[in-house]
Amino acid sequence: MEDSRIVALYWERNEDAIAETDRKYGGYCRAIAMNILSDRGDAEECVNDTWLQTWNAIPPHRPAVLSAFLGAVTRRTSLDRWRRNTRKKRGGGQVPLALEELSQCVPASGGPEEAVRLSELTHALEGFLKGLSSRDRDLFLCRYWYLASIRETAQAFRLPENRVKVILFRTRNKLKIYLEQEGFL
Amino acid sequence: MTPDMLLDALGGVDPALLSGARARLMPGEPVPVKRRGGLRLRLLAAAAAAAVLLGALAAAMAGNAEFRTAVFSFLHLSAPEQVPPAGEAPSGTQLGEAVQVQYLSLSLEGWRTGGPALWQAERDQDGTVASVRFAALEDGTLQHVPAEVTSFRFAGSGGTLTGRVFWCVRNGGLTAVGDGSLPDGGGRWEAQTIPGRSDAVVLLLRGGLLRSFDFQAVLLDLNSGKTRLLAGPQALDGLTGVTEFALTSDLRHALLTGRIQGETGRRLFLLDLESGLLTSLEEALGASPDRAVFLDSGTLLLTGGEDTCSAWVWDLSSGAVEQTATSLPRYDSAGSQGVLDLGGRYALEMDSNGQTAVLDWKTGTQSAPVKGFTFVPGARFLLSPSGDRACCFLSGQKDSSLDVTQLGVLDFAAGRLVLFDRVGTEQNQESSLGWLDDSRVFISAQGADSGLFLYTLR
Repeated sequence: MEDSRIVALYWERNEDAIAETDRKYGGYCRAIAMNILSDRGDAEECVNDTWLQTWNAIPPHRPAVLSAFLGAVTRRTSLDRWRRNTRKKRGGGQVPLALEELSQCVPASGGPEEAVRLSELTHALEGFLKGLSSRDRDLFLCRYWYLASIRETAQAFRLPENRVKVILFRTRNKLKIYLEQEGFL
Repeated sequence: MTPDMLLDALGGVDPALLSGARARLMPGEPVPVKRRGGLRLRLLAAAAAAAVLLGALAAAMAGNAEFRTAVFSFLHLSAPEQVPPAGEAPSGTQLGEAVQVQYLSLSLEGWRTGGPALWQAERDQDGTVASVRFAALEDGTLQHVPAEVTSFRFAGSGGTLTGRVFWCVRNGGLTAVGDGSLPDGGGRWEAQTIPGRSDAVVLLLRGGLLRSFDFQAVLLDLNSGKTRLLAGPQALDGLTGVTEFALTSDLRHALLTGRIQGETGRRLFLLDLESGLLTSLEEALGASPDRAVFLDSGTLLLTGGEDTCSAWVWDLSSGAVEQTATSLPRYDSAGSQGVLDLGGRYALEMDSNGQTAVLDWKTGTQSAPVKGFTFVPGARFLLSPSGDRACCFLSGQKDSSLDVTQLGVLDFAAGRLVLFDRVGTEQNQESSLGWLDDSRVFISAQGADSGLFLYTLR
């Protein structure tokens, strides 16, 4: 079913909207949640939370790209769940590894973080990503937006894992310099 | 700043930037594949299009005086609807001369609406449609509509696809259902109806990581079962991630949404199926339309823009493009004024006092303000299947119930807006509202039992 029709079902308050969303994007959202949580039960709960949040958001919201909207909700919900699990000493997935890698760009603590508004940082990141080659940008986002493992990313790009690690390392270095130039570090 | 913040901030980046990564990772989505040769995408010269625009603008400014002076009558029915508890014995009432209401003790749960017939599908373990039941709501009951089945076989670059499409024709309109997996499971196909056609459907084939194509559109003759490739890898060379695909009834043009390989961001494209010319509408217009729709076989309407709303009408036979509206402010619920695009040919234009006029995107002209009607922020509009009418309603949304406190219809062809209030809604849980066909709106409700409130709008 076309996305516009699925969104129309939400606007009609027709519960088929959820079934159709699950049919078309269930696999996509479960993959994102699994990358982050590494636990099928937790991932399933997060996907269900995504459907509920989508039901509550549409209407009045009318997402221009439904898949992007669902992916963003799943990612945020799953990261929140991962943080709760971590406080309870549970949880694995790709998040700790990704955080460790990203600490190459920014210090793990300290600095004027309170003063940095998230939206400004997002805007700066968009500028950075647009300046990358499409391959490096896609690779960076596979790892740090979709939280895909290095192996999975390498398979998707048909590159050796070591090559992927080198590209990511160089991109993180570029990001560090960029954030310094933009006054975030 | 911490790595955690970086991870959060990354979550908010423009979704257009994600499409490439997603296509790499998610095999269910169309992805770029290596092709021989360069980009074969042929774009109309933006300069030529701009010249057409300038020429046409003067004509548009002359406008359609008839519509500009058109008056939409407004009738707010004096007696409100007294909503009964859902699921009671069938009954009905008349609201003025314009609205007939039936209260039925049946449920549409599990039925899909929005087409000429209602339907529900049984699926096999693979998720493929295995059988379909069609029905029509007549005389207060659901009546069975016999299903026809067309089996097909299509041999393409991705192997031989076989499948079945279930369909019925009711009141001249086709309802068709069918979807399933591609031969080796990497992608999906689905059947889609073609406006104005009851003899054929288009099969949309979406490939994946392991397939030799991103997207193909195949015409299926429902009577003979014969298939014909309409748009394949050759016609769509250079394009990837196709999501939306719409055909004109004469099968000469297709409208699709996708992205150019190696670039981010989805764009609208027009494909001339006879010449194979693929045109980026953004490039041709020199603007960024949000939405495009065929008004008929010969006319394409585009609306949108950056922060404001503009409209363009594209004559498909001559190739002439006419800009019919320029940089109108978008409706802002905080400011309660501007243009609210209803999704079809028409929009509403509100001033700061809530005075409302109907805007015809096709001509760029607007009606006189609808006398006596004041737009209430929060009012919602739902286009009928033909787009000739819009259902408007106000929702209280108490305790997960839609709680529709005001309902009505805006008839663009008749130039009329009828509204009525509803009282007693709090005794039911109203779960959905939609068009059953072009003249009937339903509300599904749960009271003591399941109920269906059916509004026939004359």
